[in-house]
Amino acid sequence: MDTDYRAQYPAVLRWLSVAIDLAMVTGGALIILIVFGNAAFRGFGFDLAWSLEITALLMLWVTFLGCAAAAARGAHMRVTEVVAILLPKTAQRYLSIVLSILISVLLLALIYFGTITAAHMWSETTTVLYWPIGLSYASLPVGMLFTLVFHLFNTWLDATGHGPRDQGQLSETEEQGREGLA
Amino acid sequence: MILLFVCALFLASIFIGIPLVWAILITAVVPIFVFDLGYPLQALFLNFIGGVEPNHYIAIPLFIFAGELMSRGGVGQRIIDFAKAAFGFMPGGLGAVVVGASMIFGGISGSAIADSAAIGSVMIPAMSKQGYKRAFAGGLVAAAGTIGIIIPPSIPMLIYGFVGNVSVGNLFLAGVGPGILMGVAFISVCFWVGKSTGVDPGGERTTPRAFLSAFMGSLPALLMPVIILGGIFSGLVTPTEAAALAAVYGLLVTLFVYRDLKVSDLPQLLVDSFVTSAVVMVVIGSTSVLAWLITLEQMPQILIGFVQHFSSSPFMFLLMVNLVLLILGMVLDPVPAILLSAPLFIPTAQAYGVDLVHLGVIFTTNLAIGLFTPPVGATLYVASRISKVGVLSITRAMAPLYIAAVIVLLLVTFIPAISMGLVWLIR
Repeated sequence: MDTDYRAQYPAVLRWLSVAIDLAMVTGGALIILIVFGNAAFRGFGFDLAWSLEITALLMLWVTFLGCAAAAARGAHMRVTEVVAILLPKTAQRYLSIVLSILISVLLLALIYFGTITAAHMWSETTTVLYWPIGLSYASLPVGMLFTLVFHLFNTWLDATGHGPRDQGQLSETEEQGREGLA
Repeated sequence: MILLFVCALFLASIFIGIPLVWAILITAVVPIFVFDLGYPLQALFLNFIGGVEPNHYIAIPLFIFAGELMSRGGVGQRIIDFAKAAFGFMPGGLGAVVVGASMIFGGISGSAIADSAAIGSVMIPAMSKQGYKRAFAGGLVAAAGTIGIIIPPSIPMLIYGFVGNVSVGNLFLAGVGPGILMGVAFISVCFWVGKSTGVDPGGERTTPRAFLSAFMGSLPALLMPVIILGGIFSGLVTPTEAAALAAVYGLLVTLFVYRDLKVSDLPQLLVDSFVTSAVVMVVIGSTSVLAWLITLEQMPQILIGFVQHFSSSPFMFLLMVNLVLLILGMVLDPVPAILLSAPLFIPTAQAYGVDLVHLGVIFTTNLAIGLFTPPVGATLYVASRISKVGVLSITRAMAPLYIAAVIVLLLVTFIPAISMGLVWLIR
């Protein structure tokens, strides 16, 4: 179980989260179909040359949108046990705010450099479908932008005592870690 | 100096609770400013996206999806029935069923956590009813579940193969021997516990008819690893296509043969699988940034020089690899541990003449053990939750299992034939 923030989100963010999930379902299903279809067609002597370009594009978009979806679910891998055991709750809250600012700066840098690079690569095209390479590169700044939106709101929820941890929803690891080490 | 700084910064970032993906990026960015290295920050972005871009990484979400499909249905119960028919008669038989079922389930799901959850939810109550201590039952589930990442298909092996440019097919094949050896070691512990405590002296032998019936019930699931390995080794499909084949086969089996899932369950399953995959993929991307810095600053060469300063023997090197990976495995899951340590250890292993397929199996075996060791042991927590026993109690009850696992690890490390035997046969 992750520390899922979505139940505490306002309607706009919940819709954004659902829209991202829908995009991932579509992208994921297309990846499975195209990769399987390509293998099956090759058995009959056909090679779908465009399949690699499309699956690479879909994979990038699904990955970076998935990064945002994981942020909304509090699902990114992290070690929380050390802080949970060593620091009092108030100190944990301050530390969480400091770390959150650090992560936000990192995300802003990725959005900035990602946008510049995607814009720069927009005139370059792929070899089979002639699609802009910038379209693939845009997946990172877009995904990071959504990640930042969720991340900032998660930080706000944690700072104001409305996060899932404050509502008694600990991650499985934390809960069991405390039980085991207590 | 920079190597020490990078290691210290990374560990500090991790322990103060920064999510792994950002902790790795911070570890890559900060030294550029601290040591005034002068690398352009745009290179970080290009390495980040470049790390996620390779087309063969598509195998990762597809294998995760196939594993999720097989884990959510009633495949676990069918495999337990089959394992009961195979092992239920011997002393410690219920424990052996846990191990046997975990080995088979691991070959289908490729995930230790799914393995522990699916087997543990049925077998921990059953073992407790038989008279086993719940702490031991939980510990056995936690340990046996990790065999799933040694026996193919294995997501950590897949990632090691991609990172180290090592044949995924050979890695999968090399995992068979160590996986079986680990299983035999755990079954031996169960035999000893069952016999010495008298809680599980063994039951009646299964009739051939009942055995066949249990086998036929689990056959569609058992065919999954056969299809994956058969597809790759026959040359008909690439590992990525084998993953898509496994996903489609899993869909057919769970929707139409077992009928455990409905079509309406699939969107949620797809989202869950691709979120899990995204979490792994962005860590792969951030590790590419760190690997770029590691390469530019020639950190592997620094490490090789440091290790060779102490000993020029591959024996000592492998012993050190085991020690580092066991410690790393205690605090990190297998995938990030591989992503972080493989770029450092692979060039060093090549300098010592260690086969990279063998090294991959050593990595996976170490990190499998890390999955059931505190403080961060994923299967340990799953088993703790199911058994409702604290992690420390489970850890204490697992002493014989830890000893067995470390013996197997040493055998796998220093007798390459255990892992490489099958690979040598086909090379």
